[in-house]
Amino acid sequence: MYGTLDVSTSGMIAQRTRMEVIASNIANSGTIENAQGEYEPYLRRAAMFSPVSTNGVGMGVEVAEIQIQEGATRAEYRPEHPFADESGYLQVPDIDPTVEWVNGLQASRAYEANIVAAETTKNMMAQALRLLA
Amino acid sequence: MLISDLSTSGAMPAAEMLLKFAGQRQKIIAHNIANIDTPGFQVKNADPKAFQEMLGDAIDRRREKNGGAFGALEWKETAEIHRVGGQGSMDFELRPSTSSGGILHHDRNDRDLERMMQEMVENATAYRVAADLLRSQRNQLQNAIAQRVI
Amino acid sequence: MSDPLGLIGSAGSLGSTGPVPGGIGAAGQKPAGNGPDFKAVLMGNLKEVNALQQDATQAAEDLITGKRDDIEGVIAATDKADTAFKMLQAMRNQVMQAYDEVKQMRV
Repeated sequence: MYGTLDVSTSGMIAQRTRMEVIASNIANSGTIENAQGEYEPYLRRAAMFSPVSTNGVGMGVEVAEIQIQEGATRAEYRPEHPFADESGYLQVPDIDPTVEWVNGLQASRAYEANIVAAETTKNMMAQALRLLA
Repeated sequence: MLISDLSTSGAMPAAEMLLKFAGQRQKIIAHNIANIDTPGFQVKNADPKAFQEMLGDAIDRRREKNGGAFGALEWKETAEIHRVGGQGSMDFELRPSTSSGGILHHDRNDRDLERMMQEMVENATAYRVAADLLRSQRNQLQNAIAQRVI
Repeated sequence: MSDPLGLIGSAGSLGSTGPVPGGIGAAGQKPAGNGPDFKAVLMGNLKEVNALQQDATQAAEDLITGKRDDIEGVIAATDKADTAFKMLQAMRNQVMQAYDEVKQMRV
């Protein structure tokens, strides 16, 4: 039964990682400079999930990679900005807070579902132990 | 003969099988729930109805063979339930088949959180029923052996 | 005086070669009372307890294989069987105790 708890924990970790990625996206939705002050618009990150199997038995989920989405920028007309190009356009991160927020809700719901699964497994283990008492 | 009959009397072998089945199925359901947001994931399921049918057949065969509710349970393997260990072993492992059908979402994942939760609750209840049945039968047996009246 | 065990009766004096009281259900011993004899009562109860046990086992197996889905019925059947068995067990313990006491009687 301990393997079953591993599965639910892996689900919780993956969803939490996804929440962190979403939080990072929202926080950086206006970032166009990197740490050195050079012009580098923040590119949206996305957590890629993939299932984990051991010997053909499903053992949960993992974050295979945190994908940096190339070209996830849009052009904004800001002629007065020092980094604007000749026609006055600036590449800013293409992050829609509403989309991120809905994704966050989904991640939060999935996290709760995994918690419920872990609780149920824990109760089952307690039931089995009562056989001995 | 007497000692081996003790551990296979009444509904205890059937309850044991159900306990093991529900325990293994819980892992499959937890795997489905953990992968609810994984694109392209196929929901796996071990069919409880097929298991119940197989168990019902084994119980009927046991009654016919021994004339009552005692003796070892001889169960047959199915597509999803594979015997582990030698011939006549009571251990098995579940190899779930992938279910088809269901709504295909935009990320090609065909899951339904509500249905998965329901399956998990039903599975947990079946586990609890089996554990309680096993415990009450075992306690009764122990009381009889110890000639206690509690 | 009632004699449910059929011990008092044709024994005669000590050392006689008459029929020895054989205890419960001895052949040829008729109870002095007018109720059913203990052996019949005991066997009847045994059968009842056995039937209840079979019922409970069948109910549990049906629940496990999905042929019935009311857990209350199974709980009721199991409870009845349990209680009946414990009653039989208590009866048996009392009888053994009574027999021990009688055995230790100095005549």
